[in-house]
Amino acid sequence: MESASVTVGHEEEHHAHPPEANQSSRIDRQTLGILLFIVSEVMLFGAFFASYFFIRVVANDGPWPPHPFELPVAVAGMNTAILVSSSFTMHWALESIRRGNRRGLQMGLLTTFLLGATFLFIQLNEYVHIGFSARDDAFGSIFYGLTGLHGAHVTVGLILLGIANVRAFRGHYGPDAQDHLGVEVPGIYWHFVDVMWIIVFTTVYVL
Amino acid sequence: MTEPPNNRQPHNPLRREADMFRVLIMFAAGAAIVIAVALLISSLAGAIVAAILLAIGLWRTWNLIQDWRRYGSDPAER
Repeated sequence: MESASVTVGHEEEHHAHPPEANQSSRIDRQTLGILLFIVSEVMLFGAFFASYFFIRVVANDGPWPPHPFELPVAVAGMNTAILVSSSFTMHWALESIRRGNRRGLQMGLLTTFLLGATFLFIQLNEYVHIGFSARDDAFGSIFYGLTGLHGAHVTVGLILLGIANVRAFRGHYGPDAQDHLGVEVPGIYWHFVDVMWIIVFTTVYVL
Repeated sequence: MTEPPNNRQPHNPLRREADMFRVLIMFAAGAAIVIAVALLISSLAGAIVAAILLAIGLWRTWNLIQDWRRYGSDPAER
């Protein structure tokens, strides 16, 4: 009799709401998602770098970049400084919300967004004035391929930051880890994008 | 699982934003060294330094993976 009532109780419970999803991983879904995404992105960038080094080392027989291509190293260096600074402001935003400082979160996210947008604007301006296109030689193709791939990632990062900004200014997020996951995950992605740019800049513009 | 020698279990360096930020600082520092060598000496010297730093990075990553297999991950990450 008692067991029958228990069964009925369980059934009622199932009808009230679906059971909690089983989480087999020790890492939460959002963070696991962004980590798997980053791993796949590393492979994507790896394929582009493989092409770059093939063109530069195997297929090229002379100076690099080949004549008459010239890269605006100083402008790109300044752009690198802008992008790396945006990682510092991103970190500031997250440290602020961890301490319950909402104003710091909002200012940090807004500054990060503006610095990222400035980077993208300068990059597009560089494309306009650089004097060659993706159709000019293998060098042109790989230059636009690598920097364009990175630019696409910055664009995605800006969309994520835009959403985080809107939510931050609407009063979302809190000091608990689960309450600011919507900033934490774009933060991980943003730092990854910056790391990739440091590698792209050092490889393509400096070495 | 055995206990790690210094009682510190391996920590996923990409797990949190603060950890990823540390990775970024590491890359920025490495790139600064490579750029300085490339500008002061030559691109080839810069490329050699970059290859050495890359080898160190891969070696540390390999050790981290081995420690993970041996000791498991940081309990705070579970």
